Amino acid sequence: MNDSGAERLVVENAGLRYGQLDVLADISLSVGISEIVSIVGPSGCGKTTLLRCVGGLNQLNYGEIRIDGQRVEKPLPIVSMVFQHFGLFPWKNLWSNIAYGLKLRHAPKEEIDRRVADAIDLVGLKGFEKSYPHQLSGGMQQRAGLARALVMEPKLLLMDEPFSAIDAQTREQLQFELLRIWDRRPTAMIFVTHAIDEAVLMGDRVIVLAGRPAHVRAVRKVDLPRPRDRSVVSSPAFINLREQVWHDLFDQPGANGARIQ
Amino acid sequence: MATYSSRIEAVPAARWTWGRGLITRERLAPVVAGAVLLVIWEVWVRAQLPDFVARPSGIVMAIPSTIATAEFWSGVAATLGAILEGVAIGSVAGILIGVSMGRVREFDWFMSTYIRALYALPLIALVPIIILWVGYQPAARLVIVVISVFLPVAVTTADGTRAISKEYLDVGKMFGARTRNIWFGIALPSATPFIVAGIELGFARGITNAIAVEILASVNGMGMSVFTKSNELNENASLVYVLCLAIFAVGIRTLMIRFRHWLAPWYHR
Ligand SMILES: Nc1ncnc2c1ncn2[C@@H]1O[C@H](COP(=O)(O)OP(=O)(O)OP(=O)(O)O)[C@@H](O)[C@H]1O
Ligand SMILES: [Mg+2]
Repeated sequence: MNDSGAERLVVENAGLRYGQLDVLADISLSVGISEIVSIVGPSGCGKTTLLRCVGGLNQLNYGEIRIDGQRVEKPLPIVSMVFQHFGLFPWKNLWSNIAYGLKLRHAPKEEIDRRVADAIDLVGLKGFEKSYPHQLSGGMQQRAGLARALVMEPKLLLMDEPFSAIDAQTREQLQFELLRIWDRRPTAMIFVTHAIDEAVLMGDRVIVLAGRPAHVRAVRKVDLPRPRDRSVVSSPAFINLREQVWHDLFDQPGANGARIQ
Repeated sequence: MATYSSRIEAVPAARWTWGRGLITRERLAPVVAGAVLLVIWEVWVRAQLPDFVARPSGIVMAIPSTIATAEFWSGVAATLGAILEGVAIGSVAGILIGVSMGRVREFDWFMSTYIRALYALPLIALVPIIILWVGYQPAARLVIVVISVFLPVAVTTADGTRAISKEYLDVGKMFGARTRNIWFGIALPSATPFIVAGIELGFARGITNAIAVEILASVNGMGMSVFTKSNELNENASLVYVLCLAIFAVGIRTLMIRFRHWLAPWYHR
């Protein structure tokens, strides 16, 4: 899945400071046209910050981010984001929340109707179109956040710990649903997570961010077949990778060395 | 089986519990308090005071003859019409100026001091001046209602739209919202509970000040009737008008609470 020839996203020597605080330092990475890259790292290391820069919501202090060769200075229409905090508008019902981006882009009404209905169907929320966010469970709200991003048919999908605020069962269900959706229409994706399992399960590569300021400590290629289902989780290859990423994260740098593949 | 029997027990228990049915202690209390007050008033006036002083039975008796007059209905229409019109104009103006203050810092610098100073001032102090400027006519009443509503709505809208959460802003930017979309698509709806509170306050102040204008400038309306009836020593009729104003004020308050629930069902105070 990792076609290294065609990169959708390139991050080059990216660095960012918040006042005195050095958050990101010399980060370089790339994401292929239909590749899922997982990013793991300790809490507060700068994962959200990096994702916001890619999304055009924050600006770098140095370095460069390019999407399809275009420098990112503001949010681009070909990029969508699923937020850690859901970010649904409480005054809009589910349908209107999902239609939000298409309406802002003045898509024709029939097209909005069709695409929103498809997206709602895709994430399994049919029948809840008229419900308001406060009437939906956390898992349903995150599905809605996912549908709102997918309906834009983005070329790059940014996911910031999308399942971290959701109970374990729903989370597992959503992971496989997202994989199924991706199998149907593969796009470039960055998947930020705390959970090593999730990073390995979703990604074609796992990038480990660590340190202060954050830098890329390791990159692991995930050679697991797609489509992936539950059986992957118990395969030796999966368990082995999970172990490696664990060491990348928790071993003292230098002791076992930062290994970059 | 066990759950079934426990359900059967629950029903008669609920029936005998105070506070669950239509007539609750909480609802009964104000009725009792009101009745006691009315009885004391009635007894006292009958025993101690001259005949023309209003008393509850007199007011009730005065209702048919008062509301059968053309004067009554033209007064009600004039006062309520002016209040509703003033609230509409004042709310729209207050929302537009308020959202500009909330979203454009420089505009806020220019406006905020004066709007907040006027907001804090008891507007009734300005009533005589505004009557002089506008003239002894219904327009003065409309002007004062518009100002009474405009000020609180502008202040609450500014506060509500200034404080929109970063989460919503991020979502807006990510999906391509322009400034106009952020103002009217995000800032305003997220501020609706504040805005409705401002309109509610404006209503209360608007009613008070409209009545003040009617009395001070002899503008036809319920306030003027309260004044003239009382001068004619017809206190009972005067209080029929007061009663109508009270019903109107309470009705508006109830409607505004419903309005907020309808506009902002997610918001719980
Ligand atoms: N707006 C801001 N101003 C100043 N400092 C900030 C700001 N946003 C984040 N930071 C700091 O930048 C660092 C990285 O934050 P970031 O949210 O990117 O971490 P994260 O890796 O996403 O953490 P988590 O896994 O807990 O979500 C933190 O130390 C945080 O305190
Ligand atoms: Mg984060």
